[in-house]
Amino acid sequence: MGQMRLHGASVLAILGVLAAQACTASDPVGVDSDILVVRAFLFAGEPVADIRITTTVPLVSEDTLGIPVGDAMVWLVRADVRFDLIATLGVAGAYHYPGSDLVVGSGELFELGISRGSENISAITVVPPPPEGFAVSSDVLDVVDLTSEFGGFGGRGRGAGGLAFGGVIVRWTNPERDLFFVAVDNLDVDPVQIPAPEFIGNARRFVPAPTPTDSTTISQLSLTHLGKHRIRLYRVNQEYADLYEGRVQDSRDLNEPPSNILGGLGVFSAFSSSEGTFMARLTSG
Amino acid sequence: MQFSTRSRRGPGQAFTDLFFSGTGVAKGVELLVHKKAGPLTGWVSYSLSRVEYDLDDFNRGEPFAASHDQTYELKTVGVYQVGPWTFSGTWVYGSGRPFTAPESEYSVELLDGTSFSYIHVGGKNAERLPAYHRMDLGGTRRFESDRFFYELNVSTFNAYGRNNVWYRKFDLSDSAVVVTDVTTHPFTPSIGFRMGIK
Repeated sequence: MGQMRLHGASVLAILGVLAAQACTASDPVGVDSDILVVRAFLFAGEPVADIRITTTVPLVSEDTLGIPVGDAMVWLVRADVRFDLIATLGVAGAYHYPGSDLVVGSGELFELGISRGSENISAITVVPPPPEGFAVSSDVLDVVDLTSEFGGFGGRGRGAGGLAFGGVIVRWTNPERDLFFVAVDNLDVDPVQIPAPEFIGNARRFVPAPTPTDSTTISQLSLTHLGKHRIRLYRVNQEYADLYEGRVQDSRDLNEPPSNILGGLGVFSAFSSSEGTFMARLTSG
Repeated sequence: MQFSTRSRRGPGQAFTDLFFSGTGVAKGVELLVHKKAGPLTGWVSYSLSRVEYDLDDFNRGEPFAASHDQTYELKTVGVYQVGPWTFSGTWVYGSGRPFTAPESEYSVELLDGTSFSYIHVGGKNAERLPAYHRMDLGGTRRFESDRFFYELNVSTFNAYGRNNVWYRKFDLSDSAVVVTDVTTHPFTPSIGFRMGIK
């Protein structure tokens, strides 16, 4: 009987030690290591002026923007010639090349180097060829007033298949199914907002993504303001298109977009573009 | 082979590109002590193991622990029989299983001026969930007649209500990230009745 009590006490002691060990907590998120985030864009035919460096933000922080890094050494190498960049005054974390002897050309390969303390970053990109066959179907986009008796939904804006609005069609040639991106900017100094009911709000802004097609339509649902707009058609590289991936998360298989930045995060990419304009105007009848 | 969106290669890729193949190695030892005689029977087992995958073009080329990898597990089972009564107890303790944790957040401004936010994910299965342990207890009373026997059983699963983490859920839609532990069954009592022919 005494021996049994001894065994029981031993078992309880072992269980107690293991149970105490079992209560060790684990970190809910990984350890933030303050990684440099690079956003470096080169544009064919233009000087180098769009390179930005920030840091990652801890997940426990309410902030979403990283801290700009203005004390890094940044350089580009083209055909074995090194071009040292300098920090841009007044724009935190931005860098540019101050000389006039570096203009980005199509087909050129660039190496990016960044050094900051013990951190060293490198990346490579090639400037794509310019788009070909760029054409815009019209220089005017008629915009419907969506607030007048729900014009766009129940009236003149409705087509046979439901919602349908007029649009400007942008076309280009793309036999190789390369990736293109269309960006639209309003050029007016003080643009007038497109009248729309409150429930639509910001839903009218669609975020386009790089496409391997040869056309796209810009409708009023893509716009927020009336006035003169610039269409820029960019031929983009895969590393830029990768930014649009890894956006949907599953907790059991977290993912992030692939990056061509070695030693850091972000993207180093180059673009060639063509551009045109159109006027968005309110229809009168 | 593993399916993952973690290393997807961009738009237009084939669905099959999300399958990664490579090698996997499982190794370990297991000890078992079994008591079969006397009113108190049962066994204690302990396993120490490691399951590791090494997949091409995945996890930056580094090997990682399999999602079901459990470094060690201790199981104790005891059954005590006194007359028509049978009492049983089970206690399981296992080290935490691996999971992939987000480490930080960053944003990149796109060509049209909009910005996308991303999370930076740590190494595949580089973190470990808290250890798993629970105790199950039960008691059974047996009744017998000339031709039949009856058993009334009362038991509890997870007797001390340990909140064992099944997996960790991350809500990344807001800053800061919201972490929720999805747990397995809490304290669960049950009653059972069984009858049979002798």
